[in-house]
Amino acid sequence: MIKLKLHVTGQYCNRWPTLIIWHNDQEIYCKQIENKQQISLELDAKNNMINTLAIGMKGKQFGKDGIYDTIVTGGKITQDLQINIDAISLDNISILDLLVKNDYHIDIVEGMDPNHANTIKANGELCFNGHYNTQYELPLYNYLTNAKWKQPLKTMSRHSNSSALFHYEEQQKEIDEIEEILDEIDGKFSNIRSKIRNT
Amino acid sequence: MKLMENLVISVPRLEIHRPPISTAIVCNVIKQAGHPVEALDLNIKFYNFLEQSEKFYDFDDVWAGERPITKEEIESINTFISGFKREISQYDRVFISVFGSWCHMFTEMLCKFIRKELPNIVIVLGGQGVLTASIGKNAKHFGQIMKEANLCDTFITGEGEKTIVEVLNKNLDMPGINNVEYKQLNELDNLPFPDYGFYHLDEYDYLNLEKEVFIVGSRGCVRHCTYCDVARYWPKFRFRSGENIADEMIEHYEKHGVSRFYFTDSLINGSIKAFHDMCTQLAKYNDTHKTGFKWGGQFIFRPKKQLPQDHYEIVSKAGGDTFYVGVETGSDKIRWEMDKKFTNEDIEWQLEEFSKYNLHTFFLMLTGYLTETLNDHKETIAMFKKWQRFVADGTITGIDFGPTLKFLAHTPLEKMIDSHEVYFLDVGLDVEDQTNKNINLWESKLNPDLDVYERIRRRVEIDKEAIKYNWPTWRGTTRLKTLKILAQQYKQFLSKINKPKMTIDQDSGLRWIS
Repeated sequence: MIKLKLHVTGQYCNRWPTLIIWHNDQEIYCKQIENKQQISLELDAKNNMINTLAIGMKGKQFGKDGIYDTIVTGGKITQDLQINIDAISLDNISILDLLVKNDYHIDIVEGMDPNHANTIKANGELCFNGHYNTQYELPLYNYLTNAKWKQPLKTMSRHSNSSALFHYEEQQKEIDEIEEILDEIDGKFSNIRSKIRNT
Repeated sequence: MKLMENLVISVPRLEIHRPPISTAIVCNVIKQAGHPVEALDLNIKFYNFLEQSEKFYDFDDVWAGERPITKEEIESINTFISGFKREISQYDRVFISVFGSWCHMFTEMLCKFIRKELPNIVIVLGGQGVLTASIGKNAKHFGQIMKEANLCDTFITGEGEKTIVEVLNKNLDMPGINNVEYKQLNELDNLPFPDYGFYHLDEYDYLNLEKEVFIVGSRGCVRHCTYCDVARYWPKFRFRSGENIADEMIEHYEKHGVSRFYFTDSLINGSIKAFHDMCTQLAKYNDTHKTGFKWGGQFIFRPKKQLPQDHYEIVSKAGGDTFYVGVETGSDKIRWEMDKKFTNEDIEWQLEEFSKYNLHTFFLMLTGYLTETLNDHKETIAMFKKWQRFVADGTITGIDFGPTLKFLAHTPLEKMIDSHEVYFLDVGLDVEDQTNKNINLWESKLNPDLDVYERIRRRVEIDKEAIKYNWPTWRGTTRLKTLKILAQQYKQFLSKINKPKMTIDQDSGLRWIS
């Protein structure tokens, strides 16, 4: 099981907003968020497949039944139903960076302009009904290390080429060659190794 | 007719990401003594001369004595050096900074060139590399070898700040001049700051495209790790006050716009008080000036009880970024035998703190220690899974396994050659130092399970485990290429031996198997 932890802040407007979380297309959480809250869930992650995680908001009204969950006074938003994701982690590794690098998918609901954008870039704020998508694989730390830190390999004018990190192909070739030499030594020279130790 | 009196030269192999600090200090010492001086960084110029950085780094195996230099490489160096004949000829005297043993071959070639082509120039050698020597009794240090070969006029041992002035004044009958009886300086706060005005700061290959310079906060080390030779050069640990170091960093920021620094100290936090004071002052300055300071250096993990409360929060606010820690092994027992004096529990606590305050660390490892057992090795293997989460969260940004353990002269480990009945496999002359035998392949009678084969096997296994847990192995391929050379040398040696025979070299006292 993978531990999912969220620190979220709900903003009130007519009511508290509703956070909804899906894991591998199953709804695993759907509750109102009042002020700051911490949420801890256990995810039944699957091996040998891409596990998906979606986090979003639902129920915000844009005029349906005459209810507006955004109040504008004097041209300024004075109240808005929304949720901020302050922190999110899988097994104590932050994935906020991975989450918010993806677009936020917007559900167009009654009262909204039908031509409203379907996606926006956001920084962890859920201002519309919709959701962020992210994914992960097992082993989790291997996956997250690559997702967060591995860069495309560049030919750089440096010995300390940071883009080479986590690209192990050349290392593996050297390892294979050294192991071949060790196998040959083991096969041909075990006797002489013993003699040396006993000299 | 000479135009200038003194030229201070840096030689390969130094790193190319920052201007050299030792010669920046020497230049300022000479200037403050009232003598004209210029600097010539042949290290960065050699890097630019070779055009492809890979060629520059290909020489590393030569400087380290892992393979012989080729004819083409000799020609390349000689062509490069010849290109500076006119420039060097303008001076009466050259000070050549020999940083370490990796500078020996280039220094020797440069001195031979100067002696032949510009025989009237006085050659003065300085730097830690002057004192480095091969292991064994009666081994000569580099300065002595060069002086006896008439390839230098004077060599300086120990710190140069005071001695250089004596050389300028032609007072050569002094401790530390053409002898090893140097005296350590006690007070570092009064020494001149390095003057980077002698260098073209745009010439360097900065890692982050921002100017970065070295800082010396201390000399010597509070630890005496068995494999390390720092105590030979600086037996006593001395450190600058935290305020004095912070003042220098702020001066570089205000004068040259430099906000990135790398400490040359053996341990940046050798004195906890000075380190904490420096961080406190930098954090205050950072708060008001928004400098974006980022700095790092070699560091030691310490027991929690030794550190002030909120220590790492202040380090972070001061701009502390990446700290290079000699973790060496996953075995507490081996780390203790190395005299490192910290445990896996201490490491784990520090990793938690680093993670909390967005500090980064880079592990430096030393595999195949003299007394390492298979169980110790397994503890190192276990480390990769145990601390993988600190890789995933970006706290551990690198790990360097190095080659396996080598014996250095003037180390506690050298003294253990006798007590642990260490013998060396005679694979011929050292390719770097043609007067001495290659000492890379060693075994110990007291730890027979760790023969050369097993040491290489464990080193490979460690690499494989690091790959399995996706650790950021720096210079992984380069290190393995060096290991492959060792494996090849070993195989070649075994293929030639029928009846191994042990002899003791009367001069060095070392045991050899041939």
